[in-house]
Amino acid sequence: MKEEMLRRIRAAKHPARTPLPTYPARPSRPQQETTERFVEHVEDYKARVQRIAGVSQLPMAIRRALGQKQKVVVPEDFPQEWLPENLDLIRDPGTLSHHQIKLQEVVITGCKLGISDTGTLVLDSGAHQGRRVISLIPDHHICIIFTDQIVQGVHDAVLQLESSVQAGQALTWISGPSATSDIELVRVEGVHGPRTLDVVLVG
Amino acid sequence: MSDGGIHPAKTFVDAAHDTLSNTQMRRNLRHVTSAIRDKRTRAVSEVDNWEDLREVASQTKQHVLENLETYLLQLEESVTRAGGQVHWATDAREAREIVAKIALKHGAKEVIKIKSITTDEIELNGFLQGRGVAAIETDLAELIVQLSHDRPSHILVPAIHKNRSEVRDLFNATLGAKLESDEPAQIAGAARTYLREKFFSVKMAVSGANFAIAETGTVCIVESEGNGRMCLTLPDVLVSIMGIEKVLPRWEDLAVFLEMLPRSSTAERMNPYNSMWTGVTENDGPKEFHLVLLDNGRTQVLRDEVGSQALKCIRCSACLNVCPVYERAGGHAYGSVYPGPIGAILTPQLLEMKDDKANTLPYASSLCGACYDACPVKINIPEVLIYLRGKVTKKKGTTLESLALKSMLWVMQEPHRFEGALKLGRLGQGPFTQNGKFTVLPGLLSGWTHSRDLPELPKQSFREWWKEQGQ
Ligand code: SF4
Repeated sequence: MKEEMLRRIRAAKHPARTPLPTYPARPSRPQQETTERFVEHVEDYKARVQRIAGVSQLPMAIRRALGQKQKVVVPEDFPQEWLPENLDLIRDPGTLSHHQIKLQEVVITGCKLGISDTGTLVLDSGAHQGRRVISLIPDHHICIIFTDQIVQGVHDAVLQLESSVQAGQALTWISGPSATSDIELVRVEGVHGPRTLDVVLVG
Repeated sequence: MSDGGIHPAKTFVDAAHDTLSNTQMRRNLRHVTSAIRDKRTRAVSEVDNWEDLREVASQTKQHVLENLETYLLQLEESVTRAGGQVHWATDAREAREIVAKIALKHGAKEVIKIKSITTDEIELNGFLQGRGVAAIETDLAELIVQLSHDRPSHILVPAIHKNRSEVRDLFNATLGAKLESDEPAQIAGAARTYLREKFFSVKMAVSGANFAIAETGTVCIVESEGNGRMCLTLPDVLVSIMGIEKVLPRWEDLAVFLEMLPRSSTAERMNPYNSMWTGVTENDGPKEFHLVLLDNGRTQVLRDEVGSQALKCIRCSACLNVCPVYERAGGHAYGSVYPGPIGAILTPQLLEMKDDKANTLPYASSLCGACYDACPVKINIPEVLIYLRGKVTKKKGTTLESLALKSMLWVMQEPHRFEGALKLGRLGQGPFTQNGKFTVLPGLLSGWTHSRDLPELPKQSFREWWKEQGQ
């Protein structure tokens, strides 16, 4: 009951005297160091990282990440020239059923940005990413990121994501493959989300 | 019962006896809390300006408590604008009815759940069952607790008191799994098989919420296993229940909490998955989203200048893992879904200091101060503990003990006085200790040492050590 709750909050008469603080400034690192730390931190989560010089090498890198797997789903706008040939490929125009997605072994997407301090990939359903559901159901996620998409800290990422949030886009932050530490604190990779995470870093 | 709510069935001392006599449980607890403690120290030391961040987090939360009405109204407006529906629940009963009504409207016989202490607080699962709706926990630890009709014993690792072979036997007996090995990976595999079918067939999900942004209407859930993403993405209907204190003003304010929460709780740089959504998005996720804003005693806590800092809590569980009393007594001894130091100050207050059994919780502490040092939002737990003890004794009339408490409160209010008192305490504890343990404590604390030994005050407090390191 809204009115009753608001009445009780008012009755608490909490005096407003603490202003919202500003986030402490931090010295920024050179981009090269930021990139290296990103790779190191992603690898710490037992995700595989491949570094390549340019997009022309993407088909090869993706092929390597795929291993024997053929059945792939990508978002509608994923560039054909990034993909290796002879895949059993479906594109999601936003209408594939959960069941159709479940039949694919691997999902390949881009991302919005990466966070160096934490080794995190953020997807915001923007370019080359598609809906949340396609990067969730397949057991293997290959994610493409460009070096200029890597920011230093969580705060930098949050600032950059503001416009996506304002536009109502849902965000998924991914730090390594799905994991649990619920049994005796032993980390086990892959419970419900993708059990394998591959990152291809371009540039 | 996996439900428990916040009403302790016994006094703390009586309940603690159960754990103290259970050697297996104590061994599991000690193993896990010490492992997390070490990891957490490492995760925190990686951030150079951790103390600055604590200050920012603390002030942000304080600001929210001081302007709660403004931000809740703003949140309601922005969630509604984004296509969600907002409900207000003054107590547990109202919140449960709201969820049940939504389930009924959609003819849901089953709902899938993401681990949420708030839903445990309002004892939702048992209630839904009474209405013919089965609530299925999808977090591995919560599933373990639910299948064994047990109660969670830790905020973050609810099944912390069970070891691997206990879990294997449970899954073999209840899920028809045929596990021979007790390897955690195999056990997790059995849970995956059982739950995957549920994720694709159940049409309604229920969750808690870690944060919600007033400015944008965005709700955030942090998790590890991916069960959260499944529940938040696959079903048609999503209901999230959130304590009113969890609202944050601006989108930007989320940053400091996402930086501190994982390092303080699982001791990771970041937990595997964070989901953030704003209302309803076409073709992506649930078609219907409900946000339930829960009071259930919180506005009563808000009235108290000292006690209200408990509402700043982000449920990271760092205070549990560093607490010597929690490590020995275990989570069940606190008789509430909120165990450990935070439970000791939150549970009695949520019950308006009227529950005699809950009122024993503020005594469940040696006041060593480790919880305060670990808390990312700087809740002065020892201060609140002593303050609440004062409230409890005041009810019983002024005694010598309450006078002693008043002076303790004065001592705790200022760090230099606190340090002085600790030093005095160490000097003064000689006569009461034997083999490095307190055996008899004078006055007020005698009830506590009556049933167990307290460790001696440390030779050096964290604050002193910190200073010595030149920080
Ligand atoms: S009181 Fe502080 S340390 Fe304890 S759970 Fe809450 S935020 Fe974490």
